Amino acid sequence: MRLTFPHMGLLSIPVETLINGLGHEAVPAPPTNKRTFELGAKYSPEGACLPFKINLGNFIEGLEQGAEGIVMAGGVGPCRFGYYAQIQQQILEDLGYKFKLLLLEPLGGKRQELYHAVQVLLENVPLHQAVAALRLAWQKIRWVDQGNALFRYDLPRSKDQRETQRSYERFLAAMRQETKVLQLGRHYQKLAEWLKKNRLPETGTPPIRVKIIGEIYMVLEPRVNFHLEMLLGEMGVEVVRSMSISQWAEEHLLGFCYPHHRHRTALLSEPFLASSVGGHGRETIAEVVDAGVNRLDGVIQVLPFTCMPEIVAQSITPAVSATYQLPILTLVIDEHSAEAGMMTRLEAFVDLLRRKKVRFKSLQGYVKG
Amino acid sequence: MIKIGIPRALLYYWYGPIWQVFLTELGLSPLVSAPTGKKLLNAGVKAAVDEACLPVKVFLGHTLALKSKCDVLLIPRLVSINRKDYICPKFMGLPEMTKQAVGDHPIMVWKSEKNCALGSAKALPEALRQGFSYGQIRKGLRKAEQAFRAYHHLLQQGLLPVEAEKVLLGGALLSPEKSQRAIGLIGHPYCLYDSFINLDTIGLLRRYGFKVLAPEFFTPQQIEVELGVLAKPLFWTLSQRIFGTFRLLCKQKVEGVIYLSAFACGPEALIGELIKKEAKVLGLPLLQLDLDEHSGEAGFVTRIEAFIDLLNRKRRLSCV
Repeated sequence: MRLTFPHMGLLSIPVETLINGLGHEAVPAPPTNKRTFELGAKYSPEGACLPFKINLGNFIEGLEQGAEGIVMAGGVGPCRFGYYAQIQQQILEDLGYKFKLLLLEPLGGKRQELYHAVQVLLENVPLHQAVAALRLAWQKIRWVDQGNALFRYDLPRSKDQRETQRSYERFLAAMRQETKVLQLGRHYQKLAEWLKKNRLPETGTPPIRVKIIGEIYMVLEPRVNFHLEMLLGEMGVEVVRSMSISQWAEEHLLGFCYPHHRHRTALLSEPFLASSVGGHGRETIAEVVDAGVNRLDGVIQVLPFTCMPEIVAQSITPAVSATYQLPILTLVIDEHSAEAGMMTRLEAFVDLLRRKKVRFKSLQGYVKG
Repeated sequence: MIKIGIPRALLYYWYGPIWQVFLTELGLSPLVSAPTGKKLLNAGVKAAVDEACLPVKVFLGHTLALKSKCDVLLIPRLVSINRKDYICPKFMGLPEMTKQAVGDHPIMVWKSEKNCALGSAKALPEALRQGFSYGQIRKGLRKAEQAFRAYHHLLQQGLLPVEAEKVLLGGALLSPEKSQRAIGLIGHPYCLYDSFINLDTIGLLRRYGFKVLAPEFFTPQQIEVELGVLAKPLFWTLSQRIFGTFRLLCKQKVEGVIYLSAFACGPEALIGELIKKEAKVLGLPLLQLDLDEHSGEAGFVTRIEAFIDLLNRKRRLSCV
């Protein structure tokens, strides 16, 4: 079957691999663009959050490319994501599209839906081949996330930033094509070599370090958050982020193997937020605490307009900020946000952080002298 | 006597009397905030983050108004009141959001434990459990549960929460108005019964001679039956009630339905879509109104009156 799926940052790399490996044909929607925004905003309910609208736009564009089915994840609440697929299906059917919805519900949800989706996905290939495809996709996303972390570290430290970006692009393209698990690490090593050649000599003053937190879709999809990480990197800021697709998968899909993620979140957020609030609300608070404890220079919270869990987190972040003397910038994005406004706020925030650091340094010198 | 402040907002309209009865039984004095007003709302809007929805802003306004008058604030943390359902993420983080608004003022958190908003001693605030004996608390909870049943029974007879509360705390039972024409009013309880933020929609409709039917007039069992049509069960209790009530109202042959939703309310953005589709299929007139802190009376009343005109016209034409 020709299958399409929603975009979320680097997610298309492993999902494409997996679908093709299972003997289906992946029909990725064109990367999120202006038309996706327009289509999504036009057909979605007005108050729905931005990821809903972009997903819908992706689906429409994917179906236009000839997809026969949609692979989508489900949920059990209280975040709205768990009900996306049902409403999107209804809207798409009203628009006259014919497709099959393969809904990957979590184990706590409706089992039948999950079994049905898995059955359809696995119908083409023998089981051992499916397992191999799954393993390749999983290893791929882990290496890609590693490469991404390296890129974020190196961008503010490189001699020629364009060269760094080109190396990263090359790395992603190679990873997308790769079909052998053993080759994945080689590509990563190649990227590391390229980046090392391009690195500036150590000067003693490390770049400003900023952590990006918030709603996972907005954090991970550069085409929706106006390439936030790239912009900050070009300004000479090192972007730290512990949220990634592989981390999400470890925490939510393989939670029984990796329980430490959940423990860490609960432990860090306990003094400020004692209960889970759905979505990534509690993780957001935990990450701010983590940034404060590790003495990062600032935190940027990104959330779509009307996101419920993040609004709760946003109400609490001032308390964390005051406790750790940590500047926080909150960016609320919807389909009307523009790049210029975003740039201005980021530049102002980075200026502020630089100033704070310099003043702190001079104060330290004063105390020592 | 220790005064405990209860904000008249959010699910106070479901659980308010229970909290009052329980606290009185323990010998504490509950103090409910005054109905929402302009000043209170402005204070709430100032204290909340911009993106929060109107009901949360109203809630924070109530806590600020109570702050100087009571010793402790009672803040509910209602995570889930039915199995596998949630209320809304904002209800889960309510105590923390309130802490940001009121600062150092003492807060008691009433948790919903094990899918139940009342009934178990575990749901009670820590301070209460330590200050009173188990027997006292058990007795108080039993009384509160009785009050809860009586209160919701009154609501199901067609009384508004304000009237039901009066009856419950010792008042004469008013007979509900008999009217031929019925109109449905759906939405979250804190949007429907706060007559300041919805500019007294219920009063307006009653003045026009309509009998108003709201979600609280139906039993949870009745609503449960209607939810079978959904492909996937809704995991928000309040949205379930709205959707189920809408289908029940269609069957009860109301003339039209008014849907009051709060601006920036998360679940309603998706449920609105389901309800609109349902209304289209069943051919029932539906008016959806978004409430926010800038709602002006003129614009609001005009739209409701226009809707009523439409219903009148439809009725005339169908008679001919």
